[in-house]
This record gives sequence, structure tokens and C-alpha cells, in this order.
Amino acid sequence: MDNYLNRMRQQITKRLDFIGRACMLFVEAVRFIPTLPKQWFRVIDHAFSMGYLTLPIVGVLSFFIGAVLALETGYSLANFAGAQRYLGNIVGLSMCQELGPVMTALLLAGRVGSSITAEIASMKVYQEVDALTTMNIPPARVLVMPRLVAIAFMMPILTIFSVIIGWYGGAVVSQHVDFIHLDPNIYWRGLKSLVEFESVWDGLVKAEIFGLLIVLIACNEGLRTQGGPREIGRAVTRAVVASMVAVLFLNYFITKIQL
Amino acid sequence: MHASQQNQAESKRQPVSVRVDQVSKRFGAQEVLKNVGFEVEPGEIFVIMGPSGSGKSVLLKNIIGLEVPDEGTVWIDQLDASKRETHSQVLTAMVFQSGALFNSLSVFDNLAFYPREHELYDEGTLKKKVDRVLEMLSLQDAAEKLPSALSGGMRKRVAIARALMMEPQLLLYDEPTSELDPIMAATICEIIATLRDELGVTSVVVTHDRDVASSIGDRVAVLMHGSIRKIDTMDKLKAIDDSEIKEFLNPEVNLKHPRFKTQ
Ligand SMILES: Nc1ncnc2c1ncn2[C@@H]1O[C@H](COP(=O)(O)OP(=O)(O)OP(=O)(O)O)[C@@H](O)[C@H]1O
Ligand SMILES: [Mg+2]
Repeated sequence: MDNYLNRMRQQITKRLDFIGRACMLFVEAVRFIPTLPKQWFRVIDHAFSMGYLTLPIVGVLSFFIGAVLALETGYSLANFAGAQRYLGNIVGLSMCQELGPVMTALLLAGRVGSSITAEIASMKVYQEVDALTTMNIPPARVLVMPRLVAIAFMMPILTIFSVIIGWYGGAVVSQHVDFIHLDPNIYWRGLKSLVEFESVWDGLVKAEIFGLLIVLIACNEGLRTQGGPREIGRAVTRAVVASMVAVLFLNYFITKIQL
Repeated sequence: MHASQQNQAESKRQPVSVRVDQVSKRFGAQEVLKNVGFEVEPGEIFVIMGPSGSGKSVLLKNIIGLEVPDEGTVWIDQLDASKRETHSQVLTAMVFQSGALFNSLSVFDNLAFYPREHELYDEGTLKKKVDRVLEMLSLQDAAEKLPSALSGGMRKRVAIARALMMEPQLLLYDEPTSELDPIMAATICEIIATLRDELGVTSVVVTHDRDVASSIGDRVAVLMHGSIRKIDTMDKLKAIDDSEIKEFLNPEVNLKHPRFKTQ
């Protein structure tokens, strides 16, 4: 029993320690924002690989999420005469407030978070980070800050893209599946009647927080890595799991605040 | 901030001293350094020799501030080496045993990294400086290559070149000649000596090579099992009456040694 309590205490201390370090890293990185004019080339580089190259997969994912959402809901509503007219409203709101931001974030954790951790962890393991330190160049300045800025720019773009493609996926299914057969005009009118600028904005705010969080966790895990190459793999796993859990957990609370 | 750093470095370009004061370092249960103490004079070339695993690299990391001693302190000109500020007041650089090159950058960009980040020169001057250092180490043809496309010895030379680009006052070399042919090793020795003669750079050189130690080392320290066994000039060390040091410095190849019996 005592043993169990001890282990639990250790686990909690470890989590708190992790959160504390991540916060410190964030503050340190933010302090280097004045060096941004000299580091645009890094920001653009990261924005390209984290954002632009992620667009296609975000598109595919969002299309099918919108599509399956319309399919499921349309099927359930088939028994209620006329209820399918509200498909646009349903898909419209769920995409922009929940599914768009959350799915984009989860995808980002897998695709971008993992590659950031792998890159930084290998720099740590092969002493490149040590070399930076001996050059009086803090890793937070050249490794973390540009990535945070890049994701801050790209996350809204990715999310809006995801939302629009998701809406479109819903529209395609509503129009062409035989047990729904909804006039696209009705779909889009319903969507417009319910989705306000504020709903989209709430989704974007959420996504922005998720994006920064994922990159921060990924950088932090990378910089904490110690030991040999095997640790790189472990760090990647930890970063992806931690950021996915953090996204889902935070999503609940942010949604509650935004309601 | 960086411009002032440069000015500081220029105005303070006097040779620096290093004092390792009773430093101990543990990793878990293993005591890697035990009460290590010595002083390196300003402008001296101080060589550290010792068997593999005796703690040489760990000692250098304590001097450059990457590791913090459990006990004792390393002083660089009265400044505590474990504090990061020390290393911007006194410019220190280290040639890592593994090279620690930036793997995603070309050789040229590796060399240019420090001056660019600290905005020391304009691109034209920078290119000239990098080209000169590359030439010193016969690396002209490798400028555009990535570290993954280099041989072990080339990587070592790039690591040295990158440290030279920092124009440090204190330079720590972790086995600078270990992967080089004798001619290149001699060139490295010349560079280390020239830096001292012309710029007053203080050097601490970890090496396994007795020729390197005797040709450039003002003094040589023998580190064994984490403690300093002896500090003296190479000639005196060779003549010393300590069987362990003697065997370390003048090993005899004995193929008939019982160790090598197959049965
Ligand atoms: N980060 C670390 N964690 C745990 N043990 C370490 C660490 N770094 C070094 N050691 C241990 O400290 C001892 C000394 O290591 P060090 O790298 O200083 O040896 P060395 O004298 O440089 O050897 P070589 O000549 O082979 O490079 C070794 O036994 C090593 O296992
Ligand atoms: Mg070593």
C-alpha cells in the first residue's frame, strides 16, 4: 500500500516536473521573439514542413470525417420526415467547433510532433545541443522559438482548410447518397444559418492553443532526451502520447469555457 | 547584446587561466572524477593523457560548463565555469570527441553558424574567414558537403575548424588527432601552437598520442581512474619511476601475453 502511494506520488511529481519544464521552455522561447527578424528563414522553413506539407493529409482526413458525419447522421435521421434538411447545420457546427480543430491537432501531434521530437532528440543524443550551448546559443532560441512561431501562423490555416473541406465532404455525401439526397442549396443554407463567425473563431482559438501545445511538448521531450539512439524512439512515443492526451483533456475544458 | 559581447571579447583578449579546484563528479554510483585539481597558466598548452574511460571527456565537459561538478569548482579567470555567463565573458570553445557537427547543415554552414548567430561579420567577410579556416585544415573541397558524407577524420577536422571560427580565448580539444594521419596530426599540432603564439589562446588537449603530447604539451597530466596521478613535462614523465604510468606511456606489445592464449 505504502509502496503504491509512493509510486503514485512519483508519477505525479514526474508529470508536474514535466509541465513545469515545458512552461519554462515556453517562457524562455517567448523571450527570444525579438530575434525573430534574424530567424525568418527558419520560421518559413518550419512553416513549410509543418504546415504546407501537412495540408494534403488534413484535407483527406477532413473530407472523410465530414462525409461520414453526414452519412451517419443522415441515416439516423432518415426515419424522421424532413429532419435531413438539418444536415448542413449539424455538419457545419460540429466541423468548425470540434472535429476540425481536434482532428487537425491529433494529426499534427502524430505527423509534426513526432518529427520535431525525433529531430531535436537526435540533436541532443549526438551532442549537437551541447555544441549549441558551448557556442552561447540557447536551444530555445534557434530550435524552439522558430517552430512555435511557425505553428502559430500555420495552425489557423490548417484548421480553416480542414473545416471547409469537412463541410464539403458532408455536402457531397448529402447530395449523392441515395437515402439522403439533399439539395445542396438546402445543405449550405442550413449551414450558413447556424454557423456564425464566432463559432469558427472559437474553433480557431482552440486549434491555436493545441498547435502551440503540441510543438512545445515535442520540443521539450526532444531536449530532455538522454542516452543513446533508442531513447529517441522512446521520446517520440512519449511526446505523441502526451500531446494527444493533453489535446483531448484541454479540449473538454476549453469547450466548457467557450459554451 | 552580441555586439557588446564581441567588443568584450576583443577588449579582453588576454590569455586566460583555468583552475580546476578539487573537482569530483559522480554518475550514479560510479565516481568518475575524484578530487581532481590542477591549474593551467594563461597561454599554456596543457595536455591530459590517460587510459580510456578514466574521465578525460567528463573533465573537459566540467571545464566548458556542460557538466556541473558535484564537489569543487572550475575557475576560468576567477569566474565560475558552471555559470553560462562566464562563457560569454571569456570565449571558450570545445572540439568534441565525436565532432558534434550540425548534421543538417553543410560544412560551410557549420563553420558559419557561430559568427552568423552572433552577427560578427557581414557575409563577404564571413566567407573569406570560413574559406581561410577550411584551407588551413585542407577542407576546401568539402565545403558544400553534409557531415554524413564525410570521413571520420574529415569530421574531426570540421569540428576543429568550427571551434577555430569562434576565435576563443580558451580551447578544449577532446582527442583532436585520434582519427587523423600523421601529417594531418602534425598540422593540427602546428595550429594549436600557432594559436598560442599569435593569439595567446590557452589550450587543454586530451590525447592518446604521445608524439602530440611531447611536441606541443607544455605540461602533461596523467589522469587514471578519475584522479590526477602526475603533472610534468613529457620528458620527465617518461623517465618517472611509477610502473603504471610507465606502462601506460611506453606499452610493450607482447603477443605471447597470457591474455591472448586461445586455450
Ligand atoms: N553521461 C554519463 N552518464 C553516466 N556515465 C558517464 C557519463 N559520461 C561518462 N560516463 C562514465 O564516466 C567514465 C569516464 O568517461 P569519459 O568519457 O570521461 O572517458 P574518457 O577518459 O574520455 O575515455 P576515452 O579515452 O575512451 O574517450 C566512463 O566510465 C563512462 O562510462
Ligand atoms: Mg573521451
